[in-house]
Amino acid sequence: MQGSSALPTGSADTILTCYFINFTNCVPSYYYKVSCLGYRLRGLWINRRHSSDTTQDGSSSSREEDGTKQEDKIKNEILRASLPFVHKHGWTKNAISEGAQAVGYPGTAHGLFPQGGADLIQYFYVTCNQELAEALKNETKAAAADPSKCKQPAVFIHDAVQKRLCMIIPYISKWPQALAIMTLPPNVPAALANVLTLVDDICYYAGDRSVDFSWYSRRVALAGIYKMTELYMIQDKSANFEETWHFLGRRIEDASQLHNYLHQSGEVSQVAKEGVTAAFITVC
Amino acid sequence: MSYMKNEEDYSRETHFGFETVKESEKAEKVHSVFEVVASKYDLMNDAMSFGIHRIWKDIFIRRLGPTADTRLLDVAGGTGDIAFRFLNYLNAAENLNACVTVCDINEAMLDVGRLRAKKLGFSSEQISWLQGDAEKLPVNDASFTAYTIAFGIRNVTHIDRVLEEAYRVLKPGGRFMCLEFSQLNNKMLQWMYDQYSFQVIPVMGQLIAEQWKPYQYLVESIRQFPRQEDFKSMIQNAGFCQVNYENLSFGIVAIHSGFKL
Repeated sequence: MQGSSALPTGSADTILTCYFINFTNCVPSYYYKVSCLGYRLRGLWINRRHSSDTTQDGSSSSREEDGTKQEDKIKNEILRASLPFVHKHGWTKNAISEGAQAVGYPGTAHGLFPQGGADLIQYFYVTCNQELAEALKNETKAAAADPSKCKQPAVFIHDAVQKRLCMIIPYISKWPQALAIMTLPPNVPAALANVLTLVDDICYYAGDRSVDFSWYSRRVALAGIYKMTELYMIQDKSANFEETWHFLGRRIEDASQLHNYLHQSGEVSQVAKEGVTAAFITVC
Repeated sequence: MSYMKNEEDYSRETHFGFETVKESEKAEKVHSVFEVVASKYDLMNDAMSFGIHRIWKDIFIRRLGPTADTRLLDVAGGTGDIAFRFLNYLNAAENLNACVTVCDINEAMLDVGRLRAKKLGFSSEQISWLQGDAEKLPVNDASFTAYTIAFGIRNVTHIDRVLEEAYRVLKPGGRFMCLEFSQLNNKMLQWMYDQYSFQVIPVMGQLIAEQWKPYQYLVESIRQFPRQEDFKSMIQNAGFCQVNYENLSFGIVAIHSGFKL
């Protein structure tokens, strides 16, 4: 059995982490399935990281044709201009039409986005994820330079999730619609990849460098917390979403308690299996 | 592309259905086909496709999704099917100022369109009728935001020139859309479709429109038209971006779309 000695060295380990530590030995088929999915998504993440790194190095220009780049630039420009119209039209192709007109293209340019609203949501989601990753990166850098700024992993995760959820606030009235659109079967893979990218960024910058199964369990657990809090948030009427942040704090506390409990209990496997299943259902 | 224009060679051959004719003759032949069928054109469309061509055209306009600012040029749209649907789509969205330009090489087809527009109650401000060749459109550069051609591009002599013209008249961000007969991907269905095309359609033409030859030409020209992927690369070669296509009814027809960016 793997014990705490197998824990990776990242600072996020103390909390929220690998409370499913023993379960690799007990549910091999499930592990296999989850790890296959995880492996594919991880591949996606690594590619993404890689491409963003090369962009920073300025060496990626030769890989793509200029034409495609130009197209993507125009498409992103249109989508960026469409966001202000979401309040009026929701996440629809009408919002994209107005956005296109705002930057000087004809309204029929919405045809560039065959998925309509889903493409707009996807753009928004990915942009926010990138923004968060950038902020977390800077924060980690600052903490490395000045140890007094270093946060406890639990606090780091709490703040990161809160920061990410705050990005939704400007669109909160239309966010239930976005959640509904992304739950439609054709959009589920993208939605899943988005949320897993998000939690991966948070875990990574919180200091998680694990290479065992806890890599997955940690991310799945955080994804569960993120989605729960998001669902809580869209119904929250309190000022400045105070209740949401309390809710988030309680969930993170629960997670660490669960971790401790599972750590001490002998019946880890069954609970862990159910836990992962429940978390996946929530994420999807 | 341009070298083709410079090297105007009238002895070059092209296809007219399964016949091989001189390039200079094709336009004339196509012209006479549509001249004789113009009056029965819409009736025959309904009869041959069991009315499904209406659904195809509805889907076509829905994919275009016109907005209040859309300036549409409908090429080879003589009888106005696409233009009327375009206006109805915008009227339903309460954009009453919409207008459209219909261009067709054949005056007889335009006459049918004008008559139908009158019957349906569209005013002359809403639709302008223009006689012109799709290979040499009598309109200015960058003057439209959408270009549609439905069941027309099959009949032209030089598809590449038509595509270049489409590119020329569109504004940046403008969309090219083409609805055209295409090839089925399933052999069994293709066999059934062939039987229907070659055995039934010309007979139907004889009985309803009292014309055999034009309908023989129709089914033959469908077989001569490039496959979905080939046509897609032709559109890309003309300079369009984001080119894709969608098959309707197993590929009996396909909607191709591209953007000028």
